Amino acid sequence: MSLIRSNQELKKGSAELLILSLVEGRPRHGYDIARLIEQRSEGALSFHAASLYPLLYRLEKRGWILGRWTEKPGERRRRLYRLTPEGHKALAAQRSGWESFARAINRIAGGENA
Amino acid sequence: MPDWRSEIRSRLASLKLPPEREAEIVEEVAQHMEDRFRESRTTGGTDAQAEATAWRELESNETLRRELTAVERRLPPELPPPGSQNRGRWLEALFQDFRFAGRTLRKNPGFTWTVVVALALSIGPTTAIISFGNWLLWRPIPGVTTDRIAQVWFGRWSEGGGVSPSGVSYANMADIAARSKTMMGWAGVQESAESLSVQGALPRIAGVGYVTSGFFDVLGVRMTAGRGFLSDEDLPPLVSPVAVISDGLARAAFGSPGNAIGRQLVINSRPFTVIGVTPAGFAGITTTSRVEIWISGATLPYLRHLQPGARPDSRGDGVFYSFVARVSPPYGFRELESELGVLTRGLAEVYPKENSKFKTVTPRVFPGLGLYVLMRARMGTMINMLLAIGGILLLLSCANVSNLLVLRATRREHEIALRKTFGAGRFRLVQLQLAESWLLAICGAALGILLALILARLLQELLFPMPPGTSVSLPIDWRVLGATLGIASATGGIAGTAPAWFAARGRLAGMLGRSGMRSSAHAPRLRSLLAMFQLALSLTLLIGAVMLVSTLRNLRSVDLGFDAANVTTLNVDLASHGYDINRALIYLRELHSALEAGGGFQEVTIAQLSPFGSGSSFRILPPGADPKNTMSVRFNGVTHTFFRALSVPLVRGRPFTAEESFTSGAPPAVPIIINEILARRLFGTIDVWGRTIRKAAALGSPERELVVVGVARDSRWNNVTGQPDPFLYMPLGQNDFPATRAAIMIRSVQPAAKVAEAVRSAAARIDASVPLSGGQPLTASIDRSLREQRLFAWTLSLLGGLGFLLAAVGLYGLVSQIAVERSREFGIRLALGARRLDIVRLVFRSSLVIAAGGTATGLALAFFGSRAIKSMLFGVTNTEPWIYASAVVTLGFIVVLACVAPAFRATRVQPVEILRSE
Repeated sequence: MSLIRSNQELKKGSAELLILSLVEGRPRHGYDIARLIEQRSEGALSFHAASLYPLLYRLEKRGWILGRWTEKPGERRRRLYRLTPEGHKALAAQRSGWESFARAINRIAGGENA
Repeated sequence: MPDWRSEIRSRLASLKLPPEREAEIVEEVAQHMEDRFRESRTTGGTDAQAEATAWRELESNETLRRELTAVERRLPPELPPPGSQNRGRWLEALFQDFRFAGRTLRKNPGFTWTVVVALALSIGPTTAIISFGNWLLWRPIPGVTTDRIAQVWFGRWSEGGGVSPSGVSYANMADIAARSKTMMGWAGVQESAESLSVQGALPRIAGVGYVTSGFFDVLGVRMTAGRGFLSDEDLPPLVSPVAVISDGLARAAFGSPGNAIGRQLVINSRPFTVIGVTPAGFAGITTTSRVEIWISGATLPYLRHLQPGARPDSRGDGVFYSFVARVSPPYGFRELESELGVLTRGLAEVYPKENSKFKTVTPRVFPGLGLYVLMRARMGTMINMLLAIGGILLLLSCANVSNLLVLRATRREHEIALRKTFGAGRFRLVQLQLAESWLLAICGAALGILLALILARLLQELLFPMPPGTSVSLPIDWRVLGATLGIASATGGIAGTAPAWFAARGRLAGMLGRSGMRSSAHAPRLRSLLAMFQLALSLTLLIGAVMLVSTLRNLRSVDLGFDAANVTTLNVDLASHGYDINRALIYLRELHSALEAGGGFQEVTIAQLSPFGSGSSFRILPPGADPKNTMSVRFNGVTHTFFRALSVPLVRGRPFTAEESFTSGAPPAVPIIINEILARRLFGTIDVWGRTIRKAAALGSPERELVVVGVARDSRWNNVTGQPDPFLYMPLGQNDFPATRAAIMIRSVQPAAKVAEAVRSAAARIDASVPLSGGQPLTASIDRSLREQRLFAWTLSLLGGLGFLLAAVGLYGLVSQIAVERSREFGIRLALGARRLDIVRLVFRSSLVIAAGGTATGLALAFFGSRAIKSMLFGVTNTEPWIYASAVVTLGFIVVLACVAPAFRATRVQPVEILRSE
């Protein structure tokens, strides 16, 4: 129980960072983002549509990402999200925040073992 | 694949998102689930497994909704259709109803304008009355910073609120102030008019207030420049006379308030130094005061050129009889009045000799500043009567607008029925109707306020004329605006109630099928009653108006016993410029000759008093009567030209000579002229040449013998109605009341303003320092005495006319509706061979009952209602049959007028059209 909760909280805190990182290189649609998170975390992290899309909308509202319905020949219409200039700044900030946080955690949690 | 979309949509429903946003989210999430489903299938899952995986994407029932609540804003720009139930969003629905009402009203400009004008015609006059009342009675005095102020008068009070005022001396004032617990301070104040000259300019008449030194502090008036009076500036010996002036005078004469300090003014030829400037707008203690200069009470003898010791400054007598007092909390005005009563009685006991008058003289406290206290009651009553009339007018227009709105509601039955089928609640329908009538009322109020700007002015000139040359502004301030908006929304509410009830009433069945065609032979009962009520009220107003207009005509044709036409009156106050009686008579004689010689006037005369101004009387001893039985007689001091100039025939004897008129001193026997009534009363005949009467001794004047040298026809010098008074004329110079104040009367066909200008320049050549006041036609003074009758004749005529106009519009609407509703019937009749005239007759018949009912009710209302104005009538009674008959004829005319157009339209019904639609 406590494990699940901590997992959820971790997810919440880092979810924004994850999404922003994934759309940094190229625009992606929601399902793409969800799948990448699952794959790259090797199943440790996963997002369901019910929480992923509200999160996307929130980021969009903040102006960090921009969703656009786009059509490609032979494919159906999809909504692609890409990082805005604002989003770049936010991503940079979150990244450095995360790194220093992770370093701090590592120093404590990892240090004992070392 | 399952139907993800409808499931997602149902989970989002409670969010009430804008539809396009909702569709977008549904699409995106559904795509996600489809992808998941497909992926699951391609990786080897069964359909059921894949479906379960996809469903897991939505997590619990609540997740999606909960997560989205924080992100998506519930934006409800899409409102339910007008008339549908508003699902708790009352304000939005209300706004929508107003918008809808505005749109429909814009689409029906004819209807909208009719209603708005009808409302403006009633709201306008009512606003005018309120704005006039506000100007005269209710508005605060600018510059006064406290509301705990009362005006206090001392005197002997008569039943009707009249008073013979009594002065309170400085010594008594100080004692009262020292002992009083209920007031923080008080000050004496008297307002008058004196001549003012600034920087060598020709003098003019200006309002002057003389006050005790604490005056400005009591009122909380803060000087914009300089200071108020110090207490030693209000005590003899007078070192240097000082004055406080108004902001307006300071700016006009010296450029700015700051510049005025230390400068000189000349009042009544006496120099004063300016020490302070009052805040802008402050012009005295009443709403109609026009004081420009304030001086201390102690400077009054100096200002008036009084001999030393002439001014009473003993404990027993004082110059001030009007006071302002500031009540100190927690006490109220009542406590102040009773305490002042106790204190004055106490003063009578401590100084029984000097203060004996306080046994009969009582104080009276009038809360607030506002109107001059002695006029408050009368003007208050008048405004209340006017407001009552305004109320009747408002009722009239409510009935009218209500009638028109009901008519519209019947035309919109179909629309209303549709709304009901779509689920519109009664509340919403009522609200829609009220929104419409409120909107109309607000537009009516806006137009009414414009109308009020003109009417208020008219009212003020009629009821409270100000001297020529003074500018009056009747502000439409927030009090007036608030009252008008209140009235407008009440009107909107009342006028909208009947149609709203009509709309909400559950007569759904049949409405849809009938689509506005009804074949009832009778007008709707509610609307008929409204129209009847309107006709009755306007008939009542009209009857009242006719009574008062004929009263006015009768009053105008009363033989006054003198000819006031083309006579212009000016006044001169020589005493205030230091003239004694001898110098005054020389001045007046010179002026008289100058005007006779040079002005090109028909007649010139000078008298002590002008007609319909103030009156003067003394007591005489009738021949052979007991010396104790003196008789009071009104009199005037006149010159040799008086009787000729005002066309008063002398029936016996001779006029005065110029010598008698302009000579002062007391010859052993003073020549007098008396009127016929007095001659008959004293001697039983008018052949009284050479007979003598004795004038009773009075304060400061001995008993004197008067010899009758002429008898004049009876004249009404002071009021139009009633009998002429016994009257006595003395030569101007030879009566005991020195003729240092006089009225100059000129008969000329030139306009009064021109005459006044000529007289003023002639007077300036004799003594430029003495200004003349007045310059109005004598008829204006007479009209002023008739102002009540004039006012009510005007307003009732205006309102009666308006009422009829409104009633005609209402009746027109009603008859039109009946005609439209019966057009099928008319068509069939015409097809069966009825003549056009028969149709006309049918239309007229429908209004007959209404007209008859309205007439009967109106006659009864007028008969009883006219008792209220009975006391105002003259030469006509409130039961005069011809008045009632003429009003009924007018009403008949109006009814016919209202029916002509609908009847004509009814005859144009095409039978073929009607039959085809059957």
